[in-house]
Amino acid sequence: MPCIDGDALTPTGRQLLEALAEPRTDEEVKDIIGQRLFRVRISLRELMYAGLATVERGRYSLTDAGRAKLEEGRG
Amino acid sequence: MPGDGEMTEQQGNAAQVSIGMPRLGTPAPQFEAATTHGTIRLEDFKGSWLVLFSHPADFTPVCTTEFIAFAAIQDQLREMNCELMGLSIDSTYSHIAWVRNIQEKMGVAIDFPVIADLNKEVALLYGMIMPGESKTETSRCVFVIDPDQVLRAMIYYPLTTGRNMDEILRLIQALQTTDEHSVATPANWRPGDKVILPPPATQDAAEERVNMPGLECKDWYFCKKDL
Repeated sequence: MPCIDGDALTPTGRQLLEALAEPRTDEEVKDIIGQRLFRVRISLRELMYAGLATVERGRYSLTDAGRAKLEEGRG
Repeated sequence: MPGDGEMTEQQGNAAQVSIGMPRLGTPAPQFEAATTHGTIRLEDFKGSWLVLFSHPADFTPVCTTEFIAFAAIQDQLREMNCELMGLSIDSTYSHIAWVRNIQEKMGVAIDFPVIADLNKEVALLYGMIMPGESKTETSRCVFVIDPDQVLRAMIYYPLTTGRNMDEILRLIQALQTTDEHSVATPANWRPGDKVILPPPATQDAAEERVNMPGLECKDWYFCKKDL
């Protein structure tokens, strides 16, 4: 379930970034976007590798780059 | 003829490919692998059961029947909080092409990830290669891993023989029943059948057991009950 295709966000990636508007656990993200938990974990990892999300004490949140990416698509 | 301490070619080949053999009741060997759903770690499945299974090769007939059969039980497995993941020593491109072929020719969508284990890392970790059958393909192996990532059951089938989905489902149902009720399940057990109480380990417990109401006991060590 790729979230990033080149420089662009996939629809799934956008959905994930929007779910991280506030810090959430992987289980909470799963409930919001309705994907299997293992898929959510893969995608969150992808977002972290891309510098768009970070995790602290099990809660994922957007980085500045993640917020900027989200705004990019809205512009 | 090999002398003392020398291996035959067959023994040497067996030693080269059989690096790991996981044990039931121990943590399933962790790995990170390329799959048709991106890079997956075994720990991504923590919190749910997992059926990790291997097949010899993409674009082969028995394997295709098995993929179709696994797809057919996927919804039922998900209702049991159980995920599916396949593996073969093929590339992601081969997997993608084969899955698309199954969709086009057989009308079946394959929705579970399939590991592309080209460097045989996971196959060797899990003892999936049987050199007596093939040094380059995995045999038909099934590993049932619980939500705590403990390996709970293994099934090994030869290249020639497709696996039985009813048994895989039954196996997971039995393990989940055991975990929930602290019981064992007898031969040919099906959900709804009586379960077996673990045998008492002391004389006092044995005496209590035979006098316990609600049990069907043939003897102190052999008691069944309804759940």
